[in-house]
Amino acid sequence: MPSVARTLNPALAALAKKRLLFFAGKGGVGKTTVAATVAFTLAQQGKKTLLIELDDSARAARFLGVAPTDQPTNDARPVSPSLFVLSTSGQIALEEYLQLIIPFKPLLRTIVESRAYQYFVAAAPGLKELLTIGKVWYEERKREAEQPLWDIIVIDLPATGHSLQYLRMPRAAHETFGGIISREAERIAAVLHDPEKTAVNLVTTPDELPVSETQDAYRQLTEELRLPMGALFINRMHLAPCPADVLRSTTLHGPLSPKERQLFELLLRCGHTEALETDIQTARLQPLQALSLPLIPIPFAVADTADKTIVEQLSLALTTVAAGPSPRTKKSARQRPHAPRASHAETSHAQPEE
Amino acid sequence: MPNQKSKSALSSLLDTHRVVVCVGSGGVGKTTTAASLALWGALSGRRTAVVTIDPAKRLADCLGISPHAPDVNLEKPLPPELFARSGLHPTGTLTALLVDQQTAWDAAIRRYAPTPEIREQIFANRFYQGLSRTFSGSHEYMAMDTLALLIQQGVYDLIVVDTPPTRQALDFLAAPQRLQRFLDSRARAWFTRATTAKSWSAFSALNRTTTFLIRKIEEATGISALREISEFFTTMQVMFDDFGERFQRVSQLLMSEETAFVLVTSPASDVLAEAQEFHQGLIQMGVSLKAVVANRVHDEWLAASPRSSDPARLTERLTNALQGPAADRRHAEWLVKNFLSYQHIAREEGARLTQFAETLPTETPVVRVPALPAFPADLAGLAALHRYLVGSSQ
Repeated sequence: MPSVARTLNPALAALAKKRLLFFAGKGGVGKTTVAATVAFTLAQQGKKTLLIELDDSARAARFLGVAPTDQPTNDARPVSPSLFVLSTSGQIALEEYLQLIIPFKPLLRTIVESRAYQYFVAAAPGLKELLTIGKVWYEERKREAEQPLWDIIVIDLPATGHSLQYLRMPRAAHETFGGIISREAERIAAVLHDPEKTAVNLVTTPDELPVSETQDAYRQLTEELRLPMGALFINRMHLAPCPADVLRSTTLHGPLSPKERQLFELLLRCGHTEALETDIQTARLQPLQALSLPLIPIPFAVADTADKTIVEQLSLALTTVAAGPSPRTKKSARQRPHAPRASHAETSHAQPEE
Repeated sequence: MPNQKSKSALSSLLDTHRVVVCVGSGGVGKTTTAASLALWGALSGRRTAVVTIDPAKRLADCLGISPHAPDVNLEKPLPPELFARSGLHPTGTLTALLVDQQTAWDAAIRRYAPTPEIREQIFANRFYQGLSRTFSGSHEYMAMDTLALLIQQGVYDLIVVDTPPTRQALDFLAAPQRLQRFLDSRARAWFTRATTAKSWSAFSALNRTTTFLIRKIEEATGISALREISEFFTTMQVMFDDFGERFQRVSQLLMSEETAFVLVTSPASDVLAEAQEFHQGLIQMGVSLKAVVANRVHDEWLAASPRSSDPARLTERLTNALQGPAADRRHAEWLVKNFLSYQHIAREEGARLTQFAETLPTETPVVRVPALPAFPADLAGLAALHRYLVGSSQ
């Protein structure tokens, strides 16, 4: 990337001061993409960043251009000198944890492969979630020359239904279990509930169901789990410059060849559809304006390839050029007189197309 | 009545199967697709049930029903007025069922507990509470149980099942075998021995490694894991045989010719990659895929293309041709840019879908549904999808 100094969106700048940034959201809203983009952006700002994804699909790693490995690993892999990515799962975390209490490898192997172990794991499904969050906490506590090894850790949680289980586990385990696990769970819960250290972020798209699921998740996170909240990222925003009505009453005139007329009609209809999406999206996002969360809009990305360029492009939407507002920002602000109100509207919504 | 002349792959699939399972990644419109297919079943005269096991109450949103305690015995079909309001006149019925983890477990215990004492003992068991309330992963069992009950009741001709996102959906299919293994009599004996003997000597016959592991886990959790778990197993024991047998039956049905698996996807590259993995998973389980539904496809924007791909020239000509409130260069410029972006999207999607289709058996149809601005939030909206899904409308 060209080294143009860029400053963070103010809402993101506030998040950059934390230690743990969790990302939750409904499946398919682009949560992994957003988490990877945030990790990438923070690393660009010079923060030593670790991105953890809590399943072994290594999708986030792929977004950042790290090739998948055959061997599931518990080690962070470097993307750049300041950005590392770690793909873990309950299974891996559980085996790592057992390694701590049973340091003798052959014995560990025997246990992990034993029927009794399989039964126990099957019988206590929550254990995996707890140990996975435990792994996050373990990375948070890593020190190098008495300094934290990671400035910031970005965690890509599984889809909402499952992800809240992860965040719920430490406190639940503290109450359910006793012994070492209870004590450890309590310490993990203390970090999760510390607003100085942790922020839970939500990711949605301006679609009906993700919006209602976001409201649900917000309520659960703030009322039941009482976790400190970060920001609400709205992915795939449509950005038409005028309401659909304006385009509906716009027609064609003058001499046009049949082919050209067909093309222009299609083109107008395409613009009208995008404007309609923008209108509908404004209405749909209305309930989210009421949540006391800063909104961070991310435009609909055109290039839909799972590679680094998407992350780089989207990263532009989270930052502005340091020396005053960029011309693109001004242009896009002028272009969208009726775009949804976002609390940080001054930041760039530049459409990363072409 | 559905138009019999244009019988599509999906409508004949719905006609000839008893269970249709919709699988696929999250956020691809799987629930909506399942609901729309079920609605088609009802419109074609079948007594249809649609089951969602997704924790988010999405189906409730599109069917205008409120979340409820899913004691399926109490389920009623949607009232005719609801259809009439959307201008629909089904000759069959449509019943929507939601599986909620906690309430489904409790309902199952209520159904199967032989005595009130055993029921209360189970409810009070911490391990049960954890399993049903706090811990994830037990969802699939309950979905299976609901499906088993529906099949047993025999009041539906067609059951459309919406599954959780990809990875969990495979878990869902594996649930019967997993539970079978879990409930395996040897395992049960192993766990229940601890309470009956009330001492570690009960494990003298077991190898020392296992004893060591259990002791370590007990030390770590302080839960006296064994006691809690074995108590759970002891109290649940009476119910297990019934559970196991029912699950076995569902499992057989899912693998049989009476069940069709439909993979729902979108043309996004990561979604298609997951769809491919999922297809492989199904093959390994010995299940064949009957159809693919690709939602949110933008190919309609490829109906006409500019001769020259120079946006400046196109903008010039469009500016001159426009008439009305948006007839200016600024709007024309945006219209061209927007259109070319969508054409770009459509071409990339087309290429990916073609590539994906090549990995499928040739007889597997891929049904494309366009990206629609308004999400179908009511029955009329779900019926509007029939045009694309089954190539016809009522």
